Amino acid sequence: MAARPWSLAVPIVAGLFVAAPFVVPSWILFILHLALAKFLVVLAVALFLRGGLVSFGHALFYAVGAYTAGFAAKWFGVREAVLLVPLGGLFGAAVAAVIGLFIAKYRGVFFAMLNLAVSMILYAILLKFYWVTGGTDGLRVQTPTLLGFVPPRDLIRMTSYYVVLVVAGVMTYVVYRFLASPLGYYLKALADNEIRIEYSGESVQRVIYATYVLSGALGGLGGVLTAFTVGHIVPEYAFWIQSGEFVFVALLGGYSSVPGPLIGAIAFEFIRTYANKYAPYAWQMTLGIIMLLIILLQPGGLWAMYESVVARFSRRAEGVERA
Amino acid sequence: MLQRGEGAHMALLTIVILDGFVFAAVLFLLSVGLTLIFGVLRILNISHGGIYALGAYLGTYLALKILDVGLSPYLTYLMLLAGAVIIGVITGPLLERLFLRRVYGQAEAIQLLLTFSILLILDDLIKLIWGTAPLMVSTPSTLLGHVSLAGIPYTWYHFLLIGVSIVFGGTLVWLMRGTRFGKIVVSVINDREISTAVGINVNRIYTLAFTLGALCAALGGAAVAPTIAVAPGFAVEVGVQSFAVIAIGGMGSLEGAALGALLVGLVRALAIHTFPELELVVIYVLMLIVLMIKPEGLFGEVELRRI
Amino acid sequence: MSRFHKPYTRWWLSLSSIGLVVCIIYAAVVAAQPKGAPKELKLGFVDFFSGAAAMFGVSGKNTAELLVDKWNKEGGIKGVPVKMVEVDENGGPDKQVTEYRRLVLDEKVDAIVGYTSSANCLAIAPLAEELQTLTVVHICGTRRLTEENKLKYVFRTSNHQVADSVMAARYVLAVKPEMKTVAGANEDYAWGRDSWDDFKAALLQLKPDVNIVGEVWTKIQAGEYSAEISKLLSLKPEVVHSTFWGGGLVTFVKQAAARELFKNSLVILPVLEQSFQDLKNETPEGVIALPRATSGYFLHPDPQSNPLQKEFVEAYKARFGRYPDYVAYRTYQAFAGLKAAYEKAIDQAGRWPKTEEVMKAFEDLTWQTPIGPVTMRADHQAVHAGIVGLSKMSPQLGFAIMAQLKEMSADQIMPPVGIKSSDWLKTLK
Repeated sequence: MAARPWSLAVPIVAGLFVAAPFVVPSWILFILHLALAKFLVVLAVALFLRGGLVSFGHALFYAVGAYTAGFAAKWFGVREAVLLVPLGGLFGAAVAAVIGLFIAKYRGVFFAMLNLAVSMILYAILLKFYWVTGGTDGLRVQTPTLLGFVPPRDLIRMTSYYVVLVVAGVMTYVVYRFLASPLGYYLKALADNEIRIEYSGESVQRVIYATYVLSGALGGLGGVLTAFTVGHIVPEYAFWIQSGEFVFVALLGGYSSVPGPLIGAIAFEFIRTYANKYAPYAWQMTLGIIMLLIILLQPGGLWAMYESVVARFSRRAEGVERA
Repeated sequence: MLQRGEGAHMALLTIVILDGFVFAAVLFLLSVGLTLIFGVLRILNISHGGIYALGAYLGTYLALKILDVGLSPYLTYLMLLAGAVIIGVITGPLLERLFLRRVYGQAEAIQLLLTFSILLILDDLIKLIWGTAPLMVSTPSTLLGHVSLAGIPYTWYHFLLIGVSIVFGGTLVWLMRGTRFGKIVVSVINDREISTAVGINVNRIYTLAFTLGALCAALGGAAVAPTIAVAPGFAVEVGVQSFAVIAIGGMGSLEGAALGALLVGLVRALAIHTFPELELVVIYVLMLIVLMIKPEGLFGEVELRRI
Repeated sequence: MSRFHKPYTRWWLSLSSIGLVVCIIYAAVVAAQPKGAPKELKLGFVDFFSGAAAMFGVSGKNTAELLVDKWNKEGGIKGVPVKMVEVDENGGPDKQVTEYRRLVLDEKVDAIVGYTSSANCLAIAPLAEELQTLTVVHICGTRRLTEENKLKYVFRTSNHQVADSVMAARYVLAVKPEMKTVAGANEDYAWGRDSWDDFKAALLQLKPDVNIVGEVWTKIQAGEYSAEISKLLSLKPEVVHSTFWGGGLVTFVKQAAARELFKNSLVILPVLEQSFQDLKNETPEGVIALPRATSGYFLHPDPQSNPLQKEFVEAYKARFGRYPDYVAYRTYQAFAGLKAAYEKAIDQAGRWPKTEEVMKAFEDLTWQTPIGPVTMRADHQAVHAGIVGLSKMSPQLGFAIMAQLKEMSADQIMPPVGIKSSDWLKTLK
């Protein structure tokens, strides 16, 4: 019974996204495109927020993914999307697998700070070794080929968009399955009381580690896709403010659900664009004020707002029914 | 008589130690407020860098005004102090009452994001008030002249900074350990419920503690301002360094902040003189190493899990 | 009954909410679409309005607004008024890429002028080609822009970083021909690294027995340099070269002056001129100062004998309370070049030109600015002369000016068309 509303909403939303390139002007399409790519990283952060942990260092995986694409192009001349996209995710997961070994022992502020430290080290390395990484000039990432084909010029944007859409869709499903699995439920329980998890026989460290590796993969995928979308990457991809941005978006959309981060990512890109148009000199302040309002008024984010609207309508409908 | 090689080594060591201490003083003044706030309220105040920058800006601005008016340059020190106190006394209660109070007990993510958003707002606020050109008043630092040590000149103001940070640290320690106020704060830290039961106005203590931390931040900013040019973006830059310092020293510990600052200062000075390539990463690598060996930081306390 | 309806109602509600949200977005999109501006030339201007580089962007913005207002008062470009849309360059290349698209596809600008940061101009260059929009880069200094790409739609209207380094090397040898030791203090990113490498290459080519005694590297706009200054002092070099700029440079000068670095060494600061008015009377004397490799500043050519210069300097000072700096002049170069290209294209075509015609007119064009002529080459890199001098306090102005000016011609400081800088530096004479 509970599955029914979802099974219809999903294809409708999916349909809207698929139809977008034909209906929406191309610069709006670009915003959606970018939002979908970043949404993966936001999803990664949202996973941890469900578990009661904040990560201020997911820019690390984002940068790892992005620079996978960058180095592949620069040092090996490889531009193939079908190879690089999973590779980005793989490297993200690999880095997470290594770091997760000791990070899984920490909680709270220390978890956040250690993540931050590691991502800042990567930032410094990317900055320093500029003859390898291009330093602050950044690296150019050319449009990728798809199974060896270069799409015709006017279809490049659309093809890119569909690649991102497909990956986002697949990973959304993966995360949905993860959350529905025992590990996923334990993750939610982590926010409540982690000792009880251990009482029920599961290792908390295993839960955190598994989530960390998954989120690393998501971050890496998000990084690769963003690199292909934007076409130019810089060391700031690993800077802590970038991580803060992801956490903000997760909060904005609402981290307790899977559609939340997607709505947040799209809303954020639109807000950013319009804030630049109307208040270009107070961008940080605009972001800060919006964050404050969300935190103080509706910490569940946009999704929670939407849900409360729905709930009010359905309650009223119910009342009418009963009467 | 020292051989030439030995002489050079001694000089280098002296320089590294001096530079290390100077930088440590700056870091300490930056971080002690942050660790204090964390110790009492258990919140990592990401907006700390913003309050520090505000203190630097207002202090510099007032000092410049005094010079414009033509009064004695020695008054600039007073102006720096005044600027810092004004900022601390205004932002402290304002931020705590209006914003922080609403998120006590909520998820950590929410608290961190709240202070993060305040940082962003403060950074742009500074730009809106004072514009984008850098502000600088070097009179306080050049007024005292300089002295030659190990063959190179240092300004007396740098040593004044070291002195100020020692006095500062000492005062805070005395405040927390030797006064009644300090004992009340410790009681609130340990058990909020019992403290309320005993009749302590916990809300007021929280506000006071946060204000004290904000005051420390603002004073730190104002003290350092004469040696730099305050410019937009300053708040975000110093923020990360303060986190690293208190993470190394142990969050919530005053001695930890001092030790953390000293460690980072000395290691960085050493890196600059011997392996300049490492200078950027040194602070984070140090943080990583310390946290891996002793996760709570050097002087931090292990937090017990409450069932 | 109600249990049957509940999930059904929810389903409808979620569907209609989604639909509503979608409609709102579409409506916003439609409303945001401009009606098309036929009798107006729309220009996008991108520079730093926030962050550490904001002092650069402010000069650029001021000049842009001054010029556009002036042109519109005179009737526009051949009668067509100019409208400017400003975008903040702060936020990184991915934001700039989105903003570039917005400028072209939403605001429908005809051309874009701007970009100070090397990372940003390298990021948008391929985009300019993709979206076929004329882009004039005014400040960005990385030589890679014009040397590593074949540019069609992108033009750079001022000398790049190699000119700064070559001028510095030539001048220091002119002022101190017996120099033996030099140290570098630069920011650790492409601008700092490339500038230092180019300076070293030029210097060693011109005087091979110079000894590089040491280098210090700092973060971009680090703000705290005590330890680096200690190291420089202990190295005791005769010459110090530093490409610090903006807020970082101002702090460095303050801290270094207090510790007598400028007394012990001859310091070269290629971006010092831009900070003169911020440093006021704290600028040390006798520092080799450049407005980067720009052919003039507000005192040279002398405004009293050059009407274009007089007009610009007086208008700028009256409106903004400051004298124009190199950023202002390079912005002027960019806008003036664009206008000249449009006018030439209009004359050639006899009607309002297509973008490709403007581009064709821009190549090999020479146009006038208050500080001298600028020539655009076929590789879309413009060249002009450069000046360098020693800092000297001016009691009337209250800040430092450049004394003992030396002007160097374009061919002395910029590599010729088709030759890479690294190769050209090896043949320097």
